Amino acid sequence: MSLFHMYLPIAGNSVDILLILGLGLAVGLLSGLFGVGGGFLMTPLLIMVGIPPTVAAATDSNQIVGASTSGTLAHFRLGNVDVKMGLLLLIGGIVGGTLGVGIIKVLRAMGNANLLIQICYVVMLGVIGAYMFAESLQSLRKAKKETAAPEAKKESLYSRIVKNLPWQTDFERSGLRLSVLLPLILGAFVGILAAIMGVGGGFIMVPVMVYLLRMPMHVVVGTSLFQILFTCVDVTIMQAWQNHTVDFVLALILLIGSSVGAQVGTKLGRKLRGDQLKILLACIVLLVWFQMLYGLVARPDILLAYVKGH
Amino acid sequence: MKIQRFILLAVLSIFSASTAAARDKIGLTLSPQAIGIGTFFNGTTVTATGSVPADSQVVIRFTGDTAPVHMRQKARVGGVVWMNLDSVTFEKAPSVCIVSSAAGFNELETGGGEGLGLAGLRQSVRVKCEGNQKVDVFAEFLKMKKKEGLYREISGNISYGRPADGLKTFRALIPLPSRLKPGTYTVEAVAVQNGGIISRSRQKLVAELRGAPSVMAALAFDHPILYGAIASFIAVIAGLGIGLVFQSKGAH
Repeated sequence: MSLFHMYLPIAGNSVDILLILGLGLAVGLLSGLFGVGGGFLMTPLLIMVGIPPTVAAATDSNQIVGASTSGTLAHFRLGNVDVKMGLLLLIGGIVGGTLGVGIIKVLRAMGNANLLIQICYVVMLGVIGAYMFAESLQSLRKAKKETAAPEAKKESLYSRIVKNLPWQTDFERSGLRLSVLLPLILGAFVGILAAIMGVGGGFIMVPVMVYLLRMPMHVVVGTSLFQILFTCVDVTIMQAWQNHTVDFVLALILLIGSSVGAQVGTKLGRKLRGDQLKILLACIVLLVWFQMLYGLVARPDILLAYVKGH
Repeated sequence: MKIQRFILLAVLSIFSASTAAARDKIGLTLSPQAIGIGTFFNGTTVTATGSVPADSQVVIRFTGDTAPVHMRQKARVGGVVWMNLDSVTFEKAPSVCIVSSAAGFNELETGGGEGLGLAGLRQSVRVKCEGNQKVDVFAEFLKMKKKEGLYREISGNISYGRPADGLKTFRALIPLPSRLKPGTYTVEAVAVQNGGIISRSRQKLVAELRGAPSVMAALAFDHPILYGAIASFIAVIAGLGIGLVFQSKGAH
């Protein structure tokens, strides 16, 4: 018996409380520093310390519920939440999240849930890491030379499709006119990934809002957090109901660590330039990506896996 | 007179036989007699004490219930990605198997204790494979269980007292892993002498969830929707509380 260890009946193992607090603190620090949810880093780290992957993913969703609550409240006070857009993304997210939990349940029975989580990570981290790295490198170079006057852009195929979708409506807070179908579809897409990967979806949702919905940046962060909060509540309840994989004591310890880390990270972040922050984050994302990729292609130590993921 | 002699002989032979039987018998006492898995449980140590014939060695086996374990063999697909493919079932494999011996396990195998160590499980565990066995799946199974800390061979954790009346006392400290699940376990003391097993003694040991883990597991498995809702609610309240404490501007 140790005061620094706690038995988690859902994970069926005892964990070092200080180690889990430390993980929360480290991911919270990065999250405060770079303005991302941190779920995409938390789940692999929990797997590395011996939490079964399916419990790690579900518990991380529970942790994000707490982390996004305070953020949503702060942004709501500042008027940075587009509730209409958020609700449509949310409806899509709930449908997608429910579908994602169902997919995980079927794959767990087949014994390939963990493989799917890993493949999702490898693909998403690879794409996002490479994109962020390239973009931040470009903006670092641009900072040195002044850019020429912007060229007039031709309307893309995507823009034409979006304009021709039915049920166009105004989103006052974002200053946009879009079809209600677009946030519904994109919300569902992020919801599926969030359920499978055990992340809030922020690191997918933010680029989706910026590049596909073309929302202003200040509204993106608040609306993303608003949507993530509700999506993760849904994912937490579904995972607890269908898969019995949510360990809320573990989530609570992580939450305490990550909240403190986020405060420290926010203060540290003010001392660095945006481009420097972005390229640092891209390097971390690519490092996690490489680790996950190695896990998929390298010969495992043990050539057996449990069917139920435990 | 003949009858009296016969009775005397019979009494003496019964007495000497029972003394020999008593010498061969193993006394076994466990401490604690039940294991509580509470909030701060991080594995525990069970002490097994008793006595064995003075010229024998004792082996202590701590084993869990047997149940089929369903697994899949990992194999490379397309020469690139490792995937879980053919299913394998291990029948009659104990959930936990911790074997303690005063002597080394190589010495034990040659000294009559073969089958008592982990290698001996190969005889009792039945392996059913869906496809071809690409590797020695039993060896992989042992590797996995050892990595989880659920299967162990420990030597040097048993001490003996001074022999008296043909018996010697023993004291074994059995370390149990933090991954211990609630259930009924068996502790078995086996006396090994002159290349064979001369006696065995068994005791049951119950491990049960207590306190917060017990309440949490009951809620999570018996009322999962309520559990999920409570988990979300607590996270929201904690998030609000922490946000207020730090006057958070929502770094997440």
